[in-house]
Amino acid sequence: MSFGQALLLDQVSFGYRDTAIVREANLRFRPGCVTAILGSNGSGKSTLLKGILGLANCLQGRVLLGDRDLLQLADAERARTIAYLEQQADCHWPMPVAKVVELGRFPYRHHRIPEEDQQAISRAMEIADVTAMSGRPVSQLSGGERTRVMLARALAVDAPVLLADEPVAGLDPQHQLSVMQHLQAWSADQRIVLVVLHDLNLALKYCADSVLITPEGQILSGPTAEVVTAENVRKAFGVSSLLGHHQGQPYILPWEVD
Amino acid sequence: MSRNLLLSALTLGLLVAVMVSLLTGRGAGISIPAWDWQTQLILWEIRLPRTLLAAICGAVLGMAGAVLQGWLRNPLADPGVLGISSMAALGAVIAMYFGLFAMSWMLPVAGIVGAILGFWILITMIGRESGILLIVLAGAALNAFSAAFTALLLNLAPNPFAVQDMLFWLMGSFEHRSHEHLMLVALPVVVGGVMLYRVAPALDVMALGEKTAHSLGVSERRMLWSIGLGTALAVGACVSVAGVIGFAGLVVPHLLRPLTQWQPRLLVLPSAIAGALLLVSADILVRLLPPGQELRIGVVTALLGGPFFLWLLKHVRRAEVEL
Repeated sequence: MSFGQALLLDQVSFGYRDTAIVREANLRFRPGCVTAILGSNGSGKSTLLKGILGLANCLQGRVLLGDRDLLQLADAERARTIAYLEQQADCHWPMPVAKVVELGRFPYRHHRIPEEDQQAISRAMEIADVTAMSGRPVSQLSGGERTRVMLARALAVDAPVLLADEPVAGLDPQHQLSVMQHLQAWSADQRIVLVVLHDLNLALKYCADSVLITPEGQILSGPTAEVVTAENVRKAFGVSSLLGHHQGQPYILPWEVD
Repeated sequence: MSRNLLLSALTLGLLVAVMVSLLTGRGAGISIPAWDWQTQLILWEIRLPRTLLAAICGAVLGMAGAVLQGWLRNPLADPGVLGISSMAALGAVIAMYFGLFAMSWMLPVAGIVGAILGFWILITMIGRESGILLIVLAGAALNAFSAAFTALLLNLAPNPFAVQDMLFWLMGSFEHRSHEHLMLVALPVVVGGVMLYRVAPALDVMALGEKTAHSLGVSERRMLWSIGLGTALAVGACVSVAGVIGFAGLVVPHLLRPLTQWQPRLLVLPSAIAGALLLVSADILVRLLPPGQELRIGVVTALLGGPFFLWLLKHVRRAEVEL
């Protein structure tokens, strides 16, 4: 279902009530790689994702996947097309891990194919490495384990588009790297994966493309190595930074406040 | 425990309770009477409607409690705690005060209108994303307001008999209920019950929060309408004929939750059956007490439920701090 198609934002403004937070964005997200959404706090990164999902108002423009306008889709079809991993996602009740991951199949409840459900669930659990804890209640897991369970829940939707809002916030370095690796692997089957990040180095290492939103609302986009430059970082975050290379890969160290 | 086992056990318990309730006379203990026309009359005209009404009200309260708790992600939600029941009672008392009860169908209508109003105030004033305790606080305010308003009407009541009648709704009871009352609540209870039951599958998804639930295709607006109207119809109608019976909707889902793997969806049906079981049993209990002034079932559930609520409050607060 529409794998391999690009996601287009055509002159889009997203916001709440009548106030635009993301203004006149023209963006094209490629399938097959992870795209980082970068910017300072309050610059509208989360609003961009919420707008695509229909959680923020679309004040103008269109959001297209192939030739389908995503904002016009029925609830269930949109849910099968876009998977969403919320910031600090959690499960309120101490449900067993497997049941939580299974909720990712909710959009398919009206025409269920049990084998497909089972396949998507076990694949998602394998990728997020939560198979071993499938019977445990989520409340007994550590923060990192819980994040992986929520990731598996989002992967179980098996949608062509995945939007992840700060999926690595609060994780230790090992888990940060492994979650990013999972997302990269996930994008490999021609899926679109958008990830809101604060860590510029994770963007440089795992995300082929980046979108950088400045406090003024200017939107820069392109290959990450061209977007995450010392100059753009100064513009977006007001810090000067040190750039370096390791085995041909760039890294960046925000150094001092301007 | 497997789901079928749980459902079978509860249903069996309910059937036994219903049988015992039919054999229980007020102040006369449990006995198997001789089968004559008097017995038939008593069974058919007095004990059957009373028992069925207790089962219906219990099922409605248990189900509404389970749905509200799942939807609000709040173990303290219950039609009584949130003030929806007392607003329904206020509606019925107002109808009584203005003599509208002459048309008997006005009573459930007034109860349902009161319940809708209560629900609407609750949701518009505080929203659903508010913390667990804030919603309970708003419910307390709603309870206080409807109690004060009801007290005002009692105060202005034209005569002591009117006061006696109006007091009925403050402390629920299944005493003197007839087939007419059953007929009055049947339609709103069935419609409301179906609306509540149909949202059950989405309740599991609500456990992940509003935004994630939206992303999985749950329509917030449809949930709000189904749950608001479903609760108001079913609870409003029950309260209008049986008065306020507190805490049943709070206790029942809480006790069953560990038996349903903490899945809000699986909690709805067992809560309905267990709610019916609870109130039918409680109604047997109040009739077994020595004759004289009959203990009202609403008083019994409040006496038992109040301390339980406090215990739960302490428990939930600790859990919230840990989060």
